[in-house]
Amino acid sequence: MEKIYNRFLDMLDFSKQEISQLLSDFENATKKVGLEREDVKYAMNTWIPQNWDITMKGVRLCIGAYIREFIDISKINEYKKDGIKVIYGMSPSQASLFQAIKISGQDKVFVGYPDFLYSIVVGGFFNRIDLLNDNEENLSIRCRHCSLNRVRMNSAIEGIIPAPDVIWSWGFYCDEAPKTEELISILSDKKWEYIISRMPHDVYIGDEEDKNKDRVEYLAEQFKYAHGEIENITGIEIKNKDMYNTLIENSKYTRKLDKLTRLVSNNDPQPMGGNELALFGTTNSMTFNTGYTFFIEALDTIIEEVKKRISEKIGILPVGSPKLGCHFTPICVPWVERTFLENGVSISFSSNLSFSKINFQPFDYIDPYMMAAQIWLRTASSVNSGYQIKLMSEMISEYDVDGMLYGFFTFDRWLGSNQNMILKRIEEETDVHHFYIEGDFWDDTNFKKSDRKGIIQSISYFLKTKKLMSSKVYAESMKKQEKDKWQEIKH
Amino acid sequence: MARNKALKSRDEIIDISFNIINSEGTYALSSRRLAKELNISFMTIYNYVENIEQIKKEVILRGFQILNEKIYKSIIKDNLDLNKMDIKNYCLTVSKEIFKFSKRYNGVYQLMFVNGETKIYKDLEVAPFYKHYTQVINVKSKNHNENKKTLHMLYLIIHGLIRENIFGHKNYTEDEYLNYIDFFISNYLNGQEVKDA
Repeated sequence: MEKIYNRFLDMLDFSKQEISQLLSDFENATKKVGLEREDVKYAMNTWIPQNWDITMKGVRLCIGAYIREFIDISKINEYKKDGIKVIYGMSPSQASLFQAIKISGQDKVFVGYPDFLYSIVVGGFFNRIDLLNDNEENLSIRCRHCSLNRVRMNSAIEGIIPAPDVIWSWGFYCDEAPKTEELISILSDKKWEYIISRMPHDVYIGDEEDKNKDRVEYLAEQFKYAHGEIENITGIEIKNKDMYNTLIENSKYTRKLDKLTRLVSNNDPQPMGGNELALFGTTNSMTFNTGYTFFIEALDTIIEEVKKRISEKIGILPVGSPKLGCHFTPICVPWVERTFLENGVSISFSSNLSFSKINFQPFDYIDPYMMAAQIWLRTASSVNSGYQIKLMSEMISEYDVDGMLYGFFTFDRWLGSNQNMILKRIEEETDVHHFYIEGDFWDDTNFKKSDRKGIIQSISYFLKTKKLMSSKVYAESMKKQEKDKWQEIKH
Repeated sequence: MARNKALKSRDEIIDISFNIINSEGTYALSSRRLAKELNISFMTIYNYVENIEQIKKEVILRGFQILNEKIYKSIIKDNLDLNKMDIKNYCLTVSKEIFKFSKRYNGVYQLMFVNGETKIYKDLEVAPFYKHYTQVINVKSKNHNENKKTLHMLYLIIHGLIRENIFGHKNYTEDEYLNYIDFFISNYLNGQEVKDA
């Protein structure tokens, strides 16, 4: 009976000793969120191998690291009984500010992003986010709110995600998340303590916010205030040196991620897919209570594997095939990239998970909170639309793509509408074709593959025609394919 | 009569709508007509689509899917000899495929390029496909803007000629139509090379 669970962990390169230690915890973790044996079997035999290249050790290790955190999150109630303080973060936020709390509090504190992690694991790897985001009595699929908030609220009220000592809710570019905390605290019979950080968007369009000292100071004060409140609630002192160390460690990790992103996106043939790349990129958007050791091992491994593929000219599509960058996180809708691949187009970097030169510029300040604020204000989605256009255009020009794919933010009243306004301007700035597909990258219930397949094919034919006309290498390759096909038919 | 058929997917609505528009024109499409064809209540349709405008947009997307596929396959077939891969051949192939499309899918063509274009042209999902013919090729030339203008003129000529056919002002055969296109291309675009990416 339990062999399925055993084989699942084995598929992800858990050692025999680890499997014997973690097996019952893993089984309990899956049951806690409502996953049944058949779901685990389907994920293992079909869903994961279909959507991620698990022939690559780095990919297996990375999914395994997410599963370790998934198991850990299921034990929060036990941690609470042991007197461990529990702090949640939420996305979008800057993970290093949460990681600093973990470094300061060590084993006395649990710091994690349970709703985000469940969305990736239950939604992405098991394709069963409906277990958590669709609850008729709380938030259901019909309300069309952000799935992340629905997962948090439904899971909190059902007791799947235990009430934390405090959740630090970032409302810097999502005001629905803080409102969700309020709603949970009203509807839940357990105390749901929250701290909200927000910032007025009262700058001129085009203002370079990371260079605007008043703006950086204001944001840094918000961070300090929130850390102070967390200290008061949990009794854990967040030291300045831990903030520094976290920023340094995060910077090293970010550089590795950047290296991987550029290796994948700027090589022809593209050595690895966008789904695999997003697995790694997403790790920079949250903090893991289990730490980064397993992710660093996965990242180092995948970089070596990608380098090997590049040297051997192994690609996911033939040389010269068109490439798309995207502006969403494709983990929970992996079929988008797979459908593009079936149609001869690959997805490479995601502008939400990648970096451009500005992200590696030296800081103008030595205070760690000012540094953290400057990092946040160098992120395209965090700033006014004029500066966002500039940052996005710079990023896109650093990657070798034939087009950019937007959309899949239909649930988000801020980022969803914002990209509709900036898309045309970025297209003009970069001279790269921009496409848009209505959809929801957390949950495809309302925008299924069968409904979106047509537009994916249309975009693919468009890009392939352009490539056929502009790249002789690609045209030769297609010509050969066509001749081979005719030969096959003849025989 | 009891309505006993359950819809399996939104695709069924789009399929039927595509056929209605193609054979009878855009004005024949209504929720009551769809309900009748699908043997369901007309309110059920709104569980799958927001309104009739959304259905029209999906039909346009389906039209572009067919047209883009035809153009791609035709270019591969016509230009197997790579020496022929120049702007003239590209434009002739595209023009020929649009003409064929307008004949085969007359109703949908009218929705895409005659009736629907002005309304749906700016929709983010649809808009990139209208720019296909003016943006798909990079011309190796110093005067990029002038070439863009010429390609836009070509776009207007293609659809102008087809409209003359649709509204019965003229009745061009494919050869006559291509003759006009050839005349324009030979005078304004001939001899241009395609820029290697």
